[in-house]
Amino acid sequence: MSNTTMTPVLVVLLFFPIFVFLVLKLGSFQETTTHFIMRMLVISQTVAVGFLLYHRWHTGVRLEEELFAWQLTEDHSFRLLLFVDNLAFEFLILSTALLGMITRFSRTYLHREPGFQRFFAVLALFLAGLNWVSLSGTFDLLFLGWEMVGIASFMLIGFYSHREQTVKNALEVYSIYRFCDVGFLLSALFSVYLFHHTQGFSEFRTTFFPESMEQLHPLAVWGLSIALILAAMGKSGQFPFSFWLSRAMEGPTPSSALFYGALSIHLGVFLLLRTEAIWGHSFATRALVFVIGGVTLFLAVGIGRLQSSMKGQIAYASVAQVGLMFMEVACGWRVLAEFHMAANACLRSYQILISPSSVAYFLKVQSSSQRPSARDHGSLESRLPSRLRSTWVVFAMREAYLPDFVRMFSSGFFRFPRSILKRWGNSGTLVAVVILAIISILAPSESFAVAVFLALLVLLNTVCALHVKGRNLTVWFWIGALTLAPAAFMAIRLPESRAGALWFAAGIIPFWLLGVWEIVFSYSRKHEWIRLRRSLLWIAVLGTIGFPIGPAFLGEDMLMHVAVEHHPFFGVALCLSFVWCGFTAIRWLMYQPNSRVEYALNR
Amino acid sequence: MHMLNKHQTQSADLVSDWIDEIGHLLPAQGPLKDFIHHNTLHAFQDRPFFEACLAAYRIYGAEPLMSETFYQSKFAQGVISPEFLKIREREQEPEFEELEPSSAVVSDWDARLGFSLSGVLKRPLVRYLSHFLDQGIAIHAYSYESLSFYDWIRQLDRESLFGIFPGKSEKIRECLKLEPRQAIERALGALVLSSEHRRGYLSSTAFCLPGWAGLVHQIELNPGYLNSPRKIALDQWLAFSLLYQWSLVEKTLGANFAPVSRSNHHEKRTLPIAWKRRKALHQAFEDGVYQQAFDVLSAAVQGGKNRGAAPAIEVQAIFCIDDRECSIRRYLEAMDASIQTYSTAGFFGIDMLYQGYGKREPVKLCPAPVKPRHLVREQATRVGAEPSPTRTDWFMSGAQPSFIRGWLTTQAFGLLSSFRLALDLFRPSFSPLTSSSLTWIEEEHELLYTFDPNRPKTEDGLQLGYTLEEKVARVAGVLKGMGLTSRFANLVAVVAHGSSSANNPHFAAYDCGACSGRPGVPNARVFCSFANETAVRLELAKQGIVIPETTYFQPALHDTSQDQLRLFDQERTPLELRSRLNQFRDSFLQALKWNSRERTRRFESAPDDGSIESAHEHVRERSQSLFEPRPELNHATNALCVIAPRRVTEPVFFDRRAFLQSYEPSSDPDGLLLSGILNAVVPVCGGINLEYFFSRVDPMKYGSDSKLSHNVVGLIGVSHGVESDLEMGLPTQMTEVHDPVRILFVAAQKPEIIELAAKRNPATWEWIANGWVHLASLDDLTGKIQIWKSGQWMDVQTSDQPPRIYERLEDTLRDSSENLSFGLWKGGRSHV
Repeated sequence: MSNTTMTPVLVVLLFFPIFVFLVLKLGSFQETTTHFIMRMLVISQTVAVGFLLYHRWHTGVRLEEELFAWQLTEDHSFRLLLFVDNLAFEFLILSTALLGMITRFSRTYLHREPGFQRFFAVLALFLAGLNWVSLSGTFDLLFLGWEMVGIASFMLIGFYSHREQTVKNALEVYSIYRFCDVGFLLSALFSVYLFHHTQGFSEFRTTFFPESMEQLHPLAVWGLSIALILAAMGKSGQFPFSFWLSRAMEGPTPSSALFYGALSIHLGVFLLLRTEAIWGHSFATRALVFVIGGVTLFLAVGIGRLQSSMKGQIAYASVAQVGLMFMEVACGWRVLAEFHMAANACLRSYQILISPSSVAYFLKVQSSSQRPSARDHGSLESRLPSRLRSTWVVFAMREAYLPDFVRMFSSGFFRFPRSILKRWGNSGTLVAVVILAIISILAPSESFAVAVFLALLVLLNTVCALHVKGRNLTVWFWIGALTLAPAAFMAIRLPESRAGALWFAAGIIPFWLLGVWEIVFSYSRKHEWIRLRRSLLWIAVLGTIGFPIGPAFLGEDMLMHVAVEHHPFFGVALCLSFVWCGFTAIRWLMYQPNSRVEYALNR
Repeated sequence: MHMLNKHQTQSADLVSDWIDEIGHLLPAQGPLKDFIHHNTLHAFQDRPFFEACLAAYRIYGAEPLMSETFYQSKFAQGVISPEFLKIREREQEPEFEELEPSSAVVSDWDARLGFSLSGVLKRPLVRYLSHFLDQGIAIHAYSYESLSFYDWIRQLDRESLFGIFPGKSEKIRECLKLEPRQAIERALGALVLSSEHRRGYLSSTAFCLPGWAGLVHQIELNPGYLNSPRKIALDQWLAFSLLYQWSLVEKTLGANFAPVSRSNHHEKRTLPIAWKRRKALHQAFEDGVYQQAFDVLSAAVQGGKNRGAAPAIEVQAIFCIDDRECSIRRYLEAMDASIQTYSTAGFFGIDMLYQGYGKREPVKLCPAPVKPRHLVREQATRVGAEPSPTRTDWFMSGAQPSFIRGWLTTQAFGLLSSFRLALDLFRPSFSPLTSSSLTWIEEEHELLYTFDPNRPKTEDGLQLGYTLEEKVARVAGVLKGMGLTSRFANLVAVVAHGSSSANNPHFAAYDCGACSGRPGVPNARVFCSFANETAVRLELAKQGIVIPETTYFQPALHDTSQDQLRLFDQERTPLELRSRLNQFRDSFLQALKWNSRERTRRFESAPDDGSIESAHEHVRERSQSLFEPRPELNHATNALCVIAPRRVTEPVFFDRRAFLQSYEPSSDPDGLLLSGILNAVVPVCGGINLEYFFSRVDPMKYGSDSKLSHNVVGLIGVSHGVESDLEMGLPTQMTEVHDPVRILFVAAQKPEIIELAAKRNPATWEWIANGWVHLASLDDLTGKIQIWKSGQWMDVQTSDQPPRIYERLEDTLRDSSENLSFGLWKGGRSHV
C-alpha cells in the first residue's frame, strides 16, 4: 500500500516536536541556537505536512495508518492508529502556518527575556499536542494530544510565575481544563464500554449508522455524547465556562495570540467535528450543542461589549465566534464551520498581536474625528430603559455570574474533604483511608456494594489529596501515594488488572523518585542549578501525573479497560482520581517559591 | 446632639486627612498619552535620598537599590574602584530605624475568611473602575461624562435587579447613600475595631491596587488628563472599595462578624538585606562614574586652551538637550566643520497648547510643571482645504464582539489577516498602527501664532497666540540661555526631535520629554516664525541681540529611533539659502548614518557587517516592526547633564550618556540665566533619570515589568492580564541596560554663582540639597572641579591616568553593548 510510504512523515510529525520539547526543556542554549532548533522544527513540520498534502492530492483517499500495535496482554493492545482526513489537514495547515509565523515573531519579541528558551520549549510541546490531536485515529491518542495542549497552555499562562495573579489565573484555567478532561476520559470510558475495544474514528461512521445503532446501549450512547460535549465546551470556553479565556491572557502577547486567540480555543470545535457521528445521531444532542453555542454567543457578545481592555475584548469576540461555530456544527454545516474556524483563528491571533498598537491608533483616530470619543452613541444598550440597562451592566460586569456558578459546584464538592482534613490532619486521614481500604479489600464477596464503596473511597481519597498541605516532601508523598492507590486497590482485588497496574506503577514510580531526589537534594545546591532543577522537577511532576513521557498512560488505558468490564463506575473513580491528582501536583509545583528566586537572580 | 455633631465633623476631618496623606503617597503617573517622566518617589522628595528610599521600602515594599550581585559585577568590571568603596564604607553611619508597628491591614481577614480578601476583591473593583474610565475601547458606555463615579455606582445599585455588591445587606446599601467620606468612616467603623488602626487599614485598601488608585487621584487633580473627562475622586474610589470589602466579609462571616482588631503580621520589618553594604557599593559605583566624567571634562578644558582658531561657522543647529542628541551633534560637526551645534530644552521656550488642523483637542507642548496660557492653532493654508483623513485599520477597529457583523466580517476577512501578518513579519512598513514622529504632522498648515486683540480668549481662559513682547521674551530667553547672542550664521536650524515605534503603548515615553511626551515640531516651527519676524528682531536688537537680516531660522525634526530628518516650512526658506540648506541636509543624513551605526553597537540583532548603510536600514526596520519591543534604547544610558559652552563638551565622547545644555558662563555673572536653565533641566532630566533609576531597581513595584504581556486598558494604561492593577513606571525592555546612577549636573560656572542660581527656586534646590541629583562646578578656564556634597563644595581630585582617547570615528563603534568609558574625542571637525 502507498500508505506505508507515509510512515516516516507521520513519525516526524508525532515525535519530533516532543523531542524538541525535551531538548529545549533540559538543555541550556544561546538564543540563536534555540531559534535554530525551532527553525528546524518549523521546517520539518512544513515539509512533512507538504508530503502529506502531496500524497493526499495524488491518491485522493483519506489516510488511515496503524503505525504500530502493541499487544500488551492477551485481550488488550495499544494501537497507534492515525487518521488523516480533510479536518486533520485543515488543523495541521493552520497550526503549521501560525506557529511558523509566531515563532518568527517571538524570536525578536522575546529577545533577552529570561524565559526565552522555556517559551520555545512550550511552543514545541504545544505543536506536538496539536499534531497528536489532528492525526489521532482513536480516543486514546486524541486524549494524549489533548493533555499535551492542556499542559502547554497552562505553562504559557503561568509563564511569568513570579506574579501572584498570573499563577492564580493559570491554575484557575487549568482546573477548568482538568474538569473538562473528566468529560473526555468519561467519553473514552463509554466508548470502551460500548465497543469493548479501542475503536478508530473511521469506524464510527459505520458504527453509528442508524441500522447498527440498535445494538448499542442507548444510555451509554447518550452518556458518551454528553461527555464529549462537556469536553468540547470546556476547551472552547463555551457556556458556562466562557470566562476562562479572558483569564488566560497572562503570558507574552504572541503566546496569547497563538493559544487562546487561535488554536487552543478551537479544539472543542475540532472535537465536535471529529466525533459528529457519535453525538450527532440524535436531534436532542444537536439541539443541546446549538443552545450552548447560542447562549454563549449571546453572553459573550454582551460581556465583550463592555470589556475595557483590548485582550479582554478580543477574547470575548473569539468566544462569541466559537459559539457561532457550535451552532453551525449543530446544524450540520461542516464546511462552513471548518472555514469559520480557520478564519477566526487567523483573525484573532493577528488582532492580539497588534493589540499594543491600540493606544496610538485609537488616539489618532479620535483626535481627528470631531465626535466625542466614547463609542456608545446609538449602541444597542443605550436604547434600553434605564432599569434594564443597569441590570444588564451589572450582569455583564459579573461575567453573567458564570464564575460564581462554576465555583458553586466545585466548592460544594470540596467542602466535605476539607473539613475531614482539618479535623484529622494529613496523617489521620491517611490512616483512616488505609484501614478502610484494607477492610474493603479483605471483604470476601464480589458484591456490588463493596465495589461501590471502594470506588467512593478512591474518590474521597483523591479529593483529600487536593487539600494536603505541609512540607514539600509530605505533599509529594501524598501525591505519589494517592496516584498509585486506585491502581493498587484494583491490582489486589482483580487479578486480571495486575498487568495494567504494573505498567502504571512502572511509569509513575521512577518519576516520583526523581521528584524525591530533587526535593531532598537540590535545596542545598547552589543557585546555578535552579534552572535545571526546575526543569527536572517539571519532568518529574509530568511523569508522576501520567503524562505520556513514561509508560504510565498504557497502564492507565489497560486499567480502564479492566475496570469498565467489571464495574464501570470504578472506571469513573479512576478517571477522577487521575485528573485531580494531576491538578494537585501542578498546583503544588506552581506555588514553589523558587520561581521568585529565579526571577530575582535574573535581574 | 450638639456633641455628636462635633464628634462627627472631627472624625470626618480625620478621614479627609488620611485620604490626602494616601493620595500623596500613590504613584503620580498620568494616562499613557501623556507619559511624562517624573521622580517615582516624588512623594518623598522632601527627605534625603537614602532616607526616602528606606521610607518607600517600608511603605511599598519595593527594593531600594540594586542587588549586591549587580554591584559585584560592576566591581569586577572595574567601574567601582576599591578606594572609593573603602571611603564610602567608612562613611556609613549607624542606622537608626525604629520601624513603625504595622496596623490592621486588609490581609488580616484572610485567615478568618479562608480566602485572600484582596485577591477576590481586585477583579470586580478593577472591572467597574476600568469600564468607567475607559476612553474608547468598550463598545457600550454610559454617558459617564455627566455622572460621577460614585453616582454611577449608586445608580447601578439602585436600578439593577441584582444589586452591585456580593452580599444583600441593607446596611451597606444605606451607606452608599451617604457622602463618600461618611461612607468610608462608617465602613471603617464596621471593619476595624480600634480607631487607631483605621488609618492603616484605609491605606492598605488603597494599596491593594496602587496603580488604579494613583490614576484616580491624578484624574481628580487634573481633570483635563482625559479626552473624555470623568468625574472621579479618590474618596469615591476608596468608599466603593471599602463597601465592597464589607459586603464580601459580611456575606462570608454573617451579619454579626467581629471587626479585625490588630494585625496578624508578626514579621518584623527590618532594613533591606545587606543595606549598608549595598548603600556603600552604590555610592562607590556613582563615584566611579562621576570620576570618569570629571577627568574627561577637566582634560577637555585644559586641552581646549591650545587649540587653533575655530573655522568659520556657516550653519548653527539648535538641538534639544536630550541625551540621544548628544551623538548626532558630534557626527554633524565631524561631517562639516562649518556647522556649530547648540542645545536647549526641546520646547524651545514656547510654552503652548497646540491644536493641529482638523484635530479635536489641543495638546500640551511644554514641560510637565509648566501651565501653558497660550494656544496656537493651525489653520488651513488654502480656503476649503480638508484636513487629511486619518487612515483607519479594519483589523484594529473590527475587534468588537457582535452578532451578525462579527460573523460576516470574520468569515470575509479572517484569512486575510494571516497574509497581513506574513507581510508585517517579512516587510515591516508604516501603517496606521505605527506611531511615527515624522508623520505626526502630515501636512504643514499655517500657524496662528500671533495674538490678535480682536479674537477673544478661549473658554479655558487661554490666549490665542503671542503678543510681540511675549514673542521677544521667548526668543531672547532661549538665545541668551545658550549664549548665542552674536555672530549668527546665515542658517540657523532648529531641530526638534521625536521617535517612531510600532506596537508600543509607551510611545509617548520615547518622544521629547520637554514637550510632555510629544515630538517638538510645532515648537520649532513657532520659534522659527518668531525669530524670523522683523518686528521681533528689532526688539531683540534693543536688548543687544543683533540678528542680521541674512539670517534665517529653519525648523526641522530628527527622528531618534529611525534616524531620519524632516525639514519643515521649506517653501519659506530664502532662495539664496536653499543650496546651503541642501548641503546641510546632506551632511545631516551622513551624520544620521554614523549615528545609527553607533547605536547599533548595543543591539544584538543588528547586522555586523560594520557598514553604516545597513545599520541605518536596521534602525529604520526596528522602528517599524510590530515585533520589536526595543525600537530604540531611549534614555536608558543617561547619567550626566553638562551645562557648558560647546567648546567644553565638543572634544568629549560621552557615549550618549549626557544631556547637554549650551551655556555661556561669561555672559551670566549673576547666575540669572543659570537659574532659568536649572529650573527647566533639573526637573526634566532629574525626572527622567530617577524614573529609569527606580524602574530598574525594582521592575515589579516601581516599573511595569516585562512589556511582553502588557494589555492595553481603556487607552489609559497597561496591565498584565485582563483584570489586574495598572502598571506604572517603565517596562524592563526600556531599563534593562540602564546603570542606575543619580544624574550628575555639571555646570561651567563658579560654585558660588551656581549655588546662588540654584537656591533662587526652593523647588529646584530641594532636588540638590536632598541628594536626588548631584551638582558639580567646572571652571571653564582652569578645569578645576568642585562637587556639592553634604552641604558644602568639595574639591575633586582628577585621577592621574589620562582619559581614554577616541582617535577615529570607528573607535566609538566597538561591538560591545556595555557602556564605554568617557573619553576625549579627536575625531571631530572633518576627520571623516
